[in-house]
Amino acid sequence: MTTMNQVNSALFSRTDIKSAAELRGKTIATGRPGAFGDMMVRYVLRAKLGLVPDRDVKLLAIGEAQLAFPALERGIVQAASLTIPFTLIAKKMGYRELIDYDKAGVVYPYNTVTTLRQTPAKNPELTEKFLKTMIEGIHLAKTDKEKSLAVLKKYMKGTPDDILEETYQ
Amino acid sequence: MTLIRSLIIFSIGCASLCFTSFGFAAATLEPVTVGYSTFSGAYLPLWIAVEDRLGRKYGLELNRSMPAEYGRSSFSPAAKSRSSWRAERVLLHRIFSASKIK
Repeated sequence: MTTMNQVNSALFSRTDIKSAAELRGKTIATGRPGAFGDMMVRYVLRAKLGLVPDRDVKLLAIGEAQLAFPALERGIVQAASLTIPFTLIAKKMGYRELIDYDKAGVVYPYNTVTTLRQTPAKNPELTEKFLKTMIEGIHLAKTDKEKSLAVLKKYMKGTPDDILEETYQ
Repeated sequence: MTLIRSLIIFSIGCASLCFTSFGFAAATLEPVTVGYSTFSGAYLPLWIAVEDRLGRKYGLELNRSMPAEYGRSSFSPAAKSRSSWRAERVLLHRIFSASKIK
């Protein structure tokens, strides 16, 4: 099952790059080759921005957003594909958002719950109970903002309230 | 007196039975552990399900499991070390408290 079909990711650049077209010849930080971040930025470049990865732009597999962000900060790359909460932090710090993947219409099972294929086959009752539990969790996350923010605050220790608020939105 | 004593014994018996059945229900909760790997609000439904013990209604005791308190890169094998985990916490703290770029 998927608990979220939005990718909460965006392509950010340094302020001297004014538009996606100016990415030509530049280097973009992505995740591990073949992993979500890498695959998503390749799709967005090609399908949404008309740029051919590895020809028009160079992709540098830096790793997760925790590592891509400092690479952008230090000028190792000119742009980076970031996920939340780094998208919010990048905005706050004044980096330019070239494209928000969700606003651009990307729909993807971003967060899924997976198990061994044999588990639902061997124990369908357990699987059904678990799915019902998760559906209730999704419902509460969508309808009870106060509870959701309290839980986010507990689990995302040290995150400022404004970032928690935007994460919830 | 005999009647009162009998009633008291019966009440205690009923209470014991209730506690026993509650205890039995608690003991039969099936534990389900759900792992997650990154530091992301995308896990909110899972976290709420764990916090509110939503699974109990269905006989499940939902637990969560994360290798470290904060998300860390699986890109770097060094990320498995505790020192690297600390370094990422420092990095996150620095980013969260960062001001605008010049």
